[in-house]
Amino acid sequence: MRIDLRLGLSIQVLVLDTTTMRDKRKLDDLKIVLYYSGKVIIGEAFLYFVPFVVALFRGEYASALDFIISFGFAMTIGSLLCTVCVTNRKPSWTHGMVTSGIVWIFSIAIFALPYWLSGHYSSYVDCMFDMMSGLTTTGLVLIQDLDHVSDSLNMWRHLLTYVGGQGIVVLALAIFYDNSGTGYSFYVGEGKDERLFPSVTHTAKSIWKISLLYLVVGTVALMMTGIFEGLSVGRAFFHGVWIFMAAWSTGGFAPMSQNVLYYHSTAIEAVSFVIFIIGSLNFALHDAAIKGDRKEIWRNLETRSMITTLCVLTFFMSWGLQKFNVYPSLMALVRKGFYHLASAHTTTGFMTVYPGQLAKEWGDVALLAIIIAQMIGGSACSTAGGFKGMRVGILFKAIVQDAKRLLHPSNAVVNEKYSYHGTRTLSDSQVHSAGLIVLMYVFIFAVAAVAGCMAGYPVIQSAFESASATGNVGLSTGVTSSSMPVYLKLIYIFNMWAGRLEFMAILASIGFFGSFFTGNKRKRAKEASL
Amino acid sequence: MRMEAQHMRQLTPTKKTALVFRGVVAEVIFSLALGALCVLICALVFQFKFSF
Amino acid sequence: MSNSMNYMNNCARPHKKARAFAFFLIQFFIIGCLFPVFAQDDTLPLVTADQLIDDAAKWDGKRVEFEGEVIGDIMARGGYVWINVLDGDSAIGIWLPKSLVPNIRFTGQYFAKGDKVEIHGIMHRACQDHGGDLDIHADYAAILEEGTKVLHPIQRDRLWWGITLGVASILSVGFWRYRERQLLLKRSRE
Repeated sequence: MRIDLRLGLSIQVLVLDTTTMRDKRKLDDLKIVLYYSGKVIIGEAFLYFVPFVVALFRGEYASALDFIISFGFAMTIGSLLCTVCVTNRKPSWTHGMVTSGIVWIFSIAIFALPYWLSGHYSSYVDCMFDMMSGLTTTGLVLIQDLDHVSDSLNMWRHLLTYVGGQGIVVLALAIFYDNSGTGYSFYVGEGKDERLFPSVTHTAKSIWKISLLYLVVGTVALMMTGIFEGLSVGRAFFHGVWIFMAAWSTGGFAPMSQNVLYYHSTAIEAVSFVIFIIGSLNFALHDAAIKGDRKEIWRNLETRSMITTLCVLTFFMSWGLQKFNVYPSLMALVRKGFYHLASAHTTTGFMTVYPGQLAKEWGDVALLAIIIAQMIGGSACSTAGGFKGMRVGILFKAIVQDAKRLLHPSNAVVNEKYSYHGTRTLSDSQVHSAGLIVLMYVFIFAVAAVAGCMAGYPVIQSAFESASATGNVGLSTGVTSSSMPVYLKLIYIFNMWAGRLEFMAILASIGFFGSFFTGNKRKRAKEASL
Repeated sequence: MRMEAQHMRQLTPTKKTALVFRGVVAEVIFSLALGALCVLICALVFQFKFSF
Repeated sequence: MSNSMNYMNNCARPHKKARAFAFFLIQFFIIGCLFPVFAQDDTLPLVTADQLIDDAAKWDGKRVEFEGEVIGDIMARGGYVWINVLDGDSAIGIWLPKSLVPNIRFTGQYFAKGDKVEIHGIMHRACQDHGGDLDIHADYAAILEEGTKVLHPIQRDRLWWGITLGVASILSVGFWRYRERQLLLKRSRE
């Protein structure tokens, strides 16, 4: 009896100790996640320097003060997180994933402060919505009276899409990270998996170099076009920078409430079209092109997939508009119809028609073509959203492969090949992974579409808006407004976040935080049984 | 062919700039060609007014 | 002879009168027809931007009156100009000849409330001249109300928040670096 009691007590202590150790490890894990989140927040806070300088330059001193307040707030929160959770343990793969996921939630909560201080929003949820929209390069907006916003706030809005397109964690990696092997998990957690170089920090820096190169080229092109179209030099410069940032990041923000329609300019639409098509391409493709392998642009599975889907959808969109005689001239059909389809397919979100016109004039066929384009999206490891042309290409190849396997003897080896920076063989695991991601996209799209219908919006408009949020596009039929129900705003925020990070970091975060509760439940059950 | 990293480092700045410039031009041509192809499709639909 | 002359003169006077009266009537008719072109037309429907967008087909090709604040830039394109006029809800693009552009002092932006203008012109749902844009080709524009400068003074409470958070951030960063150093020292001793 005594032996049993001592054994029982030992077992009890051992179980409690193990559980306590497991809890202690979980707390350590949480500390690592929060520590690195704090570091990213500190890194992000330095972005305020750009709109602050613009505010001083333009004499917007009240706005400059708002950015000082926001900087102080972000630095304090970030430093407190780093102080409380200070650790020198290296992050594991899970830590990287979870940090990449939750740092976005921290970001929209903390960095929405300038929006709130500007007075152009009716609630803090609206500010957070616009933050998520900017960081995920969606482009849906709830801002009010955009035409009277300060230049510094416009700079902040557009800078967010530019940074968000590259990835806020990627930015932090490029500047702060100490280049250990687990950095790749941070990188992948943000929905990128192309390793341009063995070192993830080098990859992150390379992505930024490409973006900065195009920033210079694109801004000059847009500025010259703006001057030609009647803008003053100063205005042309700022509008050039902002439209470039929004186009390259396929974000879709614009400095005026009419979006790109404000300029009434074929030239600006044409230049922005070139920029957002290039912006939707894979960074690995940019790297290949600038290093001499220009033929890869045409050989690549992703670009071929995009060419195919864009052409097919252009046909259906044109047919749909033609059926209702929406645009009586070819020029109008191209400038309105095709421009919006390209904007949708690259998940940019630039608009040259009013949202109400899309809803009332375009008809179901054209709108369905846009919805499909929004869901497909652009290239992987680019600034574009959607479930990516690469996955469409892989699934199509998988169908061809399976069809061939059916036609061949069962012992025949049938493998499909595709071109993606070299010839690659299609594997079952790739097909499985592509299929799962597409399924998850479709699932959250359906949930948001149903939520839109429940809020009283027509089916096609709910589906359109849901596809826009999920695919990080930004086109709108008028559903997105500050009068939208709060639950719908929160669902769209989630969809933008999930769509941008391609679920991995989200699932890792849910699993990580969920384990705190399931772990406690198990501990209490064990204590009760003893 | 794509330049390997070490070959890139051996290039003079002028040659590197030319390579980068040609890459940017290639991407611009790609986007314009894609646009032209889709404009052609729009023109065909507009001209022939397909009906099903 | 003089009687017949008198008679003929008497006969001619009514003709002259009739001619004069007819001439006056014709002039009056011509001026009356042209009057709407030159004068303010009170019979034009006053529309809002939302009406134009939501019922674009209804207003397509119709002459309308539109009022609102001029925002952003006045973009010159050859002998014409684009202005965008915001009526509180949405902004509409107005295309008008340079000669008709009123003397706009302020356009709406951060530091200014733009001049309020009245526009008369033909609305197009999908303008053939401008690549399908929804716009108004104006033939009359006038300033209803002058705009004003908008000041954005620095608020005292925000100044205090700025100073407080600035100090707080410096202290927290300092404390973080101190803690990290402590941890490094502790690990190196171990």
